[in-house]
Amino acid sequence: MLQTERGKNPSPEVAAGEPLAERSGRLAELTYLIAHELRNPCTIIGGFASLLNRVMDPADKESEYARIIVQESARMERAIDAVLDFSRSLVSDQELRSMVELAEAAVATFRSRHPQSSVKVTCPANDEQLMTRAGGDQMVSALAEILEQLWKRSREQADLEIEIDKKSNSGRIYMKVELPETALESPRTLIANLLASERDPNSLPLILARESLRLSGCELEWGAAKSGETYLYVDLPLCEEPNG
Amino acid sequence: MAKAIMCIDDEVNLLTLYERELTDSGYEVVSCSGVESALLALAAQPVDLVVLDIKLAEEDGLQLLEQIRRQHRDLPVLLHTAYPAYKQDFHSWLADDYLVKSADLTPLKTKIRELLEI
Repeated sequence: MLQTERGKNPSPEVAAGEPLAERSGRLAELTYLIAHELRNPCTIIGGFASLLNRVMDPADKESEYARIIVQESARMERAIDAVLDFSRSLVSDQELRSMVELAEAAVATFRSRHPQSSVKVTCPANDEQLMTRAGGDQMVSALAEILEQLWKRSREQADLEIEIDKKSNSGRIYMKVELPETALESPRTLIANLLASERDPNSLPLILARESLRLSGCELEWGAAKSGETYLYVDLPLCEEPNG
Repeated sequence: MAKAIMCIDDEVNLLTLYERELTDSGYEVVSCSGVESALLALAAQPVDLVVLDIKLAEEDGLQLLEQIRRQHRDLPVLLHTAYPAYKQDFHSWLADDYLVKSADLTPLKTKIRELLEI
């Protein structure tokens, strides 16, 4: 049974007067518990479907049904992961992090899911350490999710790149996509479709990734170079590393 | 002789799944759904590895981890949990490895193999 750590629900009067941080904390706690309650059944359903799929004759129609359950439970697991990451971003401390490290961690997370993918990180030309304040794990998850969406929408054909660059008062994380000539759509269309997909019920992980970015005070934007190259980017405020 | 793995989880259906999958992979599986039964089983029968859930109904898997560490110092313990945030809890550092639950049991089997090979 789902129950908060505090046990009882607060009275409406208490809730109304509660500071925002506490309400966020409570929301994060509840979100986390809900996601957890969903994960175990999802693991069990997907695990047994996978087992059935393995032992059944592949020629049986029922084997195909088992495979579909495996696929759908994997999709649900990803949504649960996204909800868990988001719930942590509601209460996480903003810590001083190197933008290059954030990008490299996001690429490593993405690569662990898609070892066959092509993705690289390009650092600032002058090797400058660009530091920002961010909920580190959540920022990494959000960037990894955006890479994931670009990868999936390119039908797993794109070469992906995260590039870090310094703007006047901020550091910019570019996410670029290069498609083979045979691709059915251009990077511009792919990015436009991705940004327009918030109403798509299958895009929960992306929606939550964008919300996580907003909680870190930044927004997923798009831009185009004079050459016509289209890209996604996130601007993060730069912070100085404390001395000593 | 088959290596013995103890799975500790309060979800009985998950234990059934682990039993089947790990037995198919050639392991002997001992299943426990709570702290007390796990400690009794460990005292009665040596195992080669423990797969431990962190949230065991009203009981705490991390406390059980500490007890296992005290009583069976060299026994590898793999934390297998639905809570990714516990990775940051220093109590979980007592474990040999940490894995988030997934319907895809391939990472679990890989980790078990790695830990048993060390």
